[in-house]
Amino acid sequence: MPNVAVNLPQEQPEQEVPVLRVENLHTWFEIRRMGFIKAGVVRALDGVSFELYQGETISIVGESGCGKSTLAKTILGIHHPTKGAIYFENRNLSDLDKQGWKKYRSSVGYIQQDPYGALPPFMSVQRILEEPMKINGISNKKEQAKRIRQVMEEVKLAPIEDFLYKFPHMLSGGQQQRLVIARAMILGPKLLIADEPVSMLDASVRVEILQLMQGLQKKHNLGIIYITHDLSTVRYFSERIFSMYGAKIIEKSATKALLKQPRHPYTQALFEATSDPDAENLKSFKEVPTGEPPSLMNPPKGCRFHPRCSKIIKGLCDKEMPPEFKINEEQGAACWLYKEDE
Amino acid sequence: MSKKILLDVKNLKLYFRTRSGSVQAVDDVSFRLEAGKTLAVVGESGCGKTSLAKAILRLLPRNISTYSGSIIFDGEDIMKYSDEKFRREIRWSNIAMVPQASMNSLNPVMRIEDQLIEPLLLHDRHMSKKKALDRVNEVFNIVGLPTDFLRRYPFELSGGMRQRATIAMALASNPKLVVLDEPSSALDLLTQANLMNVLKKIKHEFNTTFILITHDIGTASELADEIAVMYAGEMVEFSSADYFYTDAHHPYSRKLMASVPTLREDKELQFIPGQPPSLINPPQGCRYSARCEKRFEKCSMHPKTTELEHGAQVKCWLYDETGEVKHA
Ligand SMILES: Nc1ncnc2c1ncn2[C@@H]1O[C@H](COP(=O)(O)OP(=O)(O)O)[C@@H](O)[C@H]1O
Ligand SMILES: Nc1ncnc2c1ncn2[C@@H]1O[C@H](COP(=O)(O)OP(=O)(O)O)[C@@H](O)[C@H]1O
Ligand code: SF4
Ligand SMILES: [Mg+2]
Ligand SMILES: [Mg+2]
Repeated sequence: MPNVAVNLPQEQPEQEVPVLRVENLHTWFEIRRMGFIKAGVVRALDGVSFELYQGETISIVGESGCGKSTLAKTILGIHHPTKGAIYFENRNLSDLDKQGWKKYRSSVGYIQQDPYGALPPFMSVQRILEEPMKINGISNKKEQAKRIRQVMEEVKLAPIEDFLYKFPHMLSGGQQQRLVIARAMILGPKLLIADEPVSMLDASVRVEILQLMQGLQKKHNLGIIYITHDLSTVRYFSERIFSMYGAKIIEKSATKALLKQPRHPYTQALFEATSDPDAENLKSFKEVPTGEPPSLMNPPKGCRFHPRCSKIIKGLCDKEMPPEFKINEEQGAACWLYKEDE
Repeated sequence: MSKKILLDVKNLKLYFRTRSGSVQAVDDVSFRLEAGKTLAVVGESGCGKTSLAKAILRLLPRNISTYSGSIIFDGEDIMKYSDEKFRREIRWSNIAMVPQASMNSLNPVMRIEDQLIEPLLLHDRHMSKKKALDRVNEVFNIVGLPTDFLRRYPFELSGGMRQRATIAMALASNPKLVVLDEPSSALDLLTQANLMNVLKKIKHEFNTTFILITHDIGTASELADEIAVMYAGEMVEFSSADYFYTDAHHPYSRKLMASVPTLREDKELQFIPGQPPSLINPPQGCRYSARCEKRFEKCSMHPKTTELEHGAQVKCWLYDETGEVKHA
């Protein structure tokens, strides 16, 4: 299967090793009826490849059910890939021993999707922040206290003494999310995977958290994978945007280029569907595809977007899966519209 | 052409009794809404948007400590109606509501059709089942659902379709006013955009008046003619959508707009440090004052509402009775 990788917008020195490389990753879930009868397979992640370099931020956008969280969890080792490989600093995760996994886990911080489920209700802020250190063998009390102080300052949970002994329910939504970020940062990760970190928050708090993450990214030269269904927040964050549909990445574009001209018809639809506050919006209807995203148990043949696509090339799009085509240095899309003429 | 005011709310209050004190969820809210227009009510979660809707529809929990003011609907003060009369003549038949997350509260073991005709038959004893079915088919068409879905059960419909079904249910009685509480928040982007198209179509074709409650100002702008901003139980601004997004009056409204990310325009996002005050014993003065950059001496007193030109109103000391900006 051809898989033409899209070049990065900025020039990478020849010898630089990506922090993370994901190769043809598949994560399928078996669905069983009554516990044992195999009823089908959900192809939650179905052939995803990309590289991420130190200090780079990418956004992954797509609607619910397209496989974003599965991608995050597979990278984190929560799900085992059905096929494909994940390389962290050039080491294949499947070659890691127990010690290697420990080290890997401490290099990747995770901000999970549900902020309420993320925090154990009966643990104090201090214990929540101590926990990952205990698991990773940082048992020196002084060292623990030092790190806690440092991350709490970084996420602005200050004055620290006011927060240390509080329980999650005593914190506001924004403070809870800052605590989740502090916990993700406490082992000094190189990469942060943030799964819809601001979706549940009010507009103002959302900005506060996004700016906080931006600051951490700069300060620690973090790699960040920012997962969101909200296209309007990505500009403030990432150098590249991947859009996902039907368990695949269907566009990889530099952020500026995508905001100027989204390429895949699905990304174009997301763009059109996003409303900026504007009184002019009253005057027109939106031209967005109707219908529903595909079933991942029984995905359509050919391009997974073809049943909803207004630009469909009959006989091609509904028959063959489009490979990733490179459009220019900054953009690529898995869509037959971008097939070069022979 | 004289404009008809469909809804005229004056000094509406809804307080809840709790163990720690009285929650002033809706505090002295006044506004007027023209027939055929859509009012979007925006503000952070907990500012009282849902409570305002409940106060208008008299859908009250048990722990009410204050419920007062007047609601003139179509020329009648419906606050004076008995509960029985309100239920018979106002709720659903004239003012319908699509509650928050209602698409998940359809009865799972009843066909959609039966759920839709039930209220029609209950409200009008003389209505035949055939006539009710005709109406239900009609509203299904209006919201853009295939009528054969009427025979299905809720679980057989996607989230977006179920949301349309609940809107169809609200429209079945041909109400003059429809209150939608966060109708699209739980939906995916494309589904949400399709739903806004449907609402827009209904608005144009039937001249329906809407109150749209949302925390998403971008989506609100698809439907809203007027914007009301709530903060800590009070309506701090009521303005025409024509200028609200670019030239809001209240300092809170301005900051709120500055925190909304935009896709098509690169702007510096801002946030408002701090949090809204508790609605139990809120501050005496302006409730926003602790977070307001424009705060001055007068703000320690409670600001009254100033009427500006074009029917706009703002609750802020920067504007005096003549509507002139003083300290901006
Ligand atoms: N543990 C699981 N078992 C079975 N199906 C799953 C599991 N996790 C996710 N899925 C399914 O995989 C698909 C992708 O889900 P997810 O990765 O959560 O999407 P997103 O995060 O983009 O909303 C969905 O159809 C979902 O129902
Ligand atoms: N039945 C109730 N009893 C006590 N407090 C309530 C009740 N319903 C709502 N509240 C409180 O009233 C305030 C406004 O709530 P709500 O109207 O739901 O806000 P919004 O819809 O803007 O998020 C909140 O502080 C909420 O906790
Ligand atoms: S491949 Fe075809 S169906 Fe798919 S998005 Fe492109 S044009 Fe549309
Ligand atoms: Mg998810
Ligand atoms: Mg609400």
